[in-house]
Amino acid sequence: MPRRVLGLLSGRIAVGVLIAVALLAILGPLLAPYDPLEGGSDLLAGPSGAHWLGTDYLGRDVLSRLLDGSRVSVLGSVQVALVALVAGVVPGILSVYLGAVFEWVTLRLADTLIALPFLVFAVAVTALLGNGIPQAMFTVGIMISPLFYRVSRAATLAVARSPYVEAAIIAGASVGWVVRRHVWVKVLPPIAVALANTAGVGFVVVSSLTFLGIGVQPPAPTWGGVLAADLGYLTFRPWAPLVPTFLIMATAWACNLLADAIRDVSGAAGRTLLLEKERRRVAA
Amino acid sequence: MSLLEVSDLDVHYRRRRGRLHALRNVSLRLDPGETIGVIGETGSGKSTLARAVLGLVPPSSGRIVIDGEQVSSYGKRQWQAFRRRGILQYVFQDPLRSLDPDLTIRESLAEPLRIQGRTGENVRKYLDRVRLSEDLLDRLPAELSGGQRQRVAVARALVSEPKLILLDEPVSALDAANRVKVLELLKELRDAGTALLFISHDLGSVAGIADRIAVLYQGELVEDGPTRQVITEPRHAYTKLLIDSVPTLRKAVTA
Amino acid sequence: MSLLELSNVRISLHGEELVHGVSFALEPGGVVGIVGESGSGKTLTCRAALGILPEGITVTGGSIELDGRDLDGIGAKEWTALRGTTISAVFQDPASYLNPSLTIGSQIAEVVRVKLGLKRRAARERAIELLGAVRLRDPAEVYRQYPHELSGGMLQRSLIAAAIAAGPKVLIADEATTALDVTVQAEILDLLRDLRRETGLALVVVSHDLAVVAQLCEEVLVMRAGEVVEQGTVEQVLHRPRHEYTRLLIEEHEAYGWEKYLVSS
Repeated sequence: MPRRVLGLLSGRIAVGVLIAVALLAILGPLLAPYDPLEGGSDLLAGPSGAHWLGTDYLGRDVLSRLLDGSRVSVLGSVQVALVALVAGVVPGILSVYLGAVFEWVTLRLADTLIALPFLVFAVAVTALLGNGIPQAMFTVGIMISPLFYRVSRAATLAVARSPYVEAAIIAGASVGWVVRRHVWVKVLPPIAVALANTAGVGFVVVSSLTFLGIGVQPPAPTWGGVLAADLGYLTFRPWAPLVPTFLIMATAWACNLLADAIRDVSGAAGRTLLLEKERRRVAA
Repeated sequence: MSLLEVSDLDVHYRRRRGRLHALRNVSLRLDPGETIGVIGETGSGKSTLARAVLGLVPPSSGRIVIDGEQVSSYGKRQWQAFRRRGILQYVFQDPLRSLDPDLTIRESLAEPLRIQGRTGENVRKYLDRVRLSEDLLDRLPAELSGGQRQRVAVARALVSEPKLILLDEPVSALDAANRVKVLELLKELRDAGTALLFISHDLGSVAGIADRIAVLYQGELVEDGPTRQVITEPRHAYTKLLIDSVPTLRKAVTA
Repeated sequence: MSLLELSNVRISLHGEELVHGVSFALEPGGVVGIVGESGSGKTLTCRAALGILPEGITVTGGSIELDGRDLDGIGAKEWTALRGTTISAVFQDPASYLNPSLTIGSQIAEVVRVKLGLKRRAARERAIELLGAVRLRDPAEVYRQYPHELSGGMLQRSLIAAAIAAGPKVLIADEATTALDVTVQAEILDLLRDLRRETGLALVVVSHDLAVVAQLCEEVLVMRAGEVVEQGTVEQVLHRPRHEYTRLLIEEHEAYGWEKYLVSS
């Protein structure tokens, strides 16, 4: 699969951008030229040799804040996606196989989560688990998980009754075999697309929670937090939100591109592509 | 000893109002190497019979014994263990959907063996047996014609060297040339000693290869006998109707 | 004079010829059979005679004459006037030709009202009469029923009733019995035979099954890949097949069907 994704130009671009984002997350805090929390006397300054991206309303260096905040932002986003994935996809696939009781319970749970007001739930969870980034991300992940549950369940249902799955069962296959061999490939592409959408949502949600003092505490920088702060001073620095917006968009866009590439190469279409290539290589 | 013994089999489905009897008191025996054609029209219960024998539908009462094992009393685990012995295989009607579109022909053929924990390397010869070129091994189902796919499905049923193969309308979806090829293949299998349970709505297509014919009508087995006898001296009124209904070339010319 | 006459009809899609010349003449009360598999061009030939070829596919050669009139270049309005009253058809999957949310009766009555200009009450009576004519057991009851309440055979009878509602002279039955059970198929074939005898309806019977066509028809065309490979009376085609493909069709019946049991009995 990875080889096939990289076989596509869009796949290579997506992976390239995501690697850059990952490097930013790892090295960002080390590269920051100033202390991201240290205010200066120069408030809301434009770009200059000293401050490439200017300073914010407390005189803090914006570039440093963005670089320093990238680790928290990216890790948070990844955590949201992973929680949503595990909490949604696993019960989504299993709901087709583990019998009527499990199916009923998980369906009702998913409905309940969709019906819960997001912020109330987030506040309740932080009250319960304490305030912190992992807790906040966990909450967001759980709130998004019904999407993954629905997507993976629908894809699994479509495969579960097909004759080739019955043929495998008649040959003595276990549920695990059927899922690994037949279901997984068909469920993966829609999940990849849902995952890519989630990653973009993750950045924005983190910042909206920051407003409420949930998760990331205000002085600590995040991409979403910088964006929110910039929006408050549009009259002074109208161009400022572009930079954090670009970072968030580029990441979300790369995720979507990757999801598309995965969808294109998985399943029969992708294999035909690869088999054709191999055949040509053998012939040559 | 019979290979397959179905005795007093009842299957009913629960419906909102009462029960729907899909099969009523069906008894059927199949000896090793024998080929039996089960004829039934819409609503006769023929698919339910197949699914019950395969363990996909639980019987309401009655017994099913395959190769000395009373499978009708088996739970999920026991069924799985029994199926992995590879005694029983199945060929579906629809060649378009019976192969996983994401697996190469090689992978599809090897699957029954790999489920049993074997390597599944030696599937090549089964393509030979259904007269398909080995070049197809690394192709995907979408690259094959309907007739080729159905022959791959037959090959997949052969890899575990089963004693009994259930066939559900295996030629109905094919054109004449492929029908002849697949029927030819089934005849060879029969001659090689594999027992076949051939389910069809069309008496005409089964008569040529079945040793015995059983007729299902509204969930009951109304006729069971040697093919020649069933065709020339049908006992049940429904069998007579069925025989009169089959269009034949001979009737056309003498009419 | 022939009722429907095709001479050397060629059908193409964007310059690529799909049907390479079909000719036959259907006399009043006569039956012509066309045998072939999907892709043989048999359905396209029928659709050409009905003026319902799919987008982009056109008749590019030969002529079709219906009831003494050349159909070349006639307009949509004239086609609509011809269909139902002069030529009509039934197809393979009856359920897909009926609106599931309307009763059978209302759909047939609509045909009668549009094509014959009858008033509501008269149309209803005529529709019930037609349902009786296709030998549905309780026509008044079927009139009130919805498509999902009827079996495949009953639906096909209803569609035949709709097809003959405006008294056409030619009925095309394109794989009309293929999706049905064997016993139901026999009933529908009987019905077509009786309609022909009682009303003088001329039939074009199209099927992939040589035996079905042979039972009903006097003249048979065997088509393959757009080509008529064999054409003649049923006797000729069955006893002295000239083309390899016809021989295959016959051999299939004789070697794998049950003809061999009938020979010895």
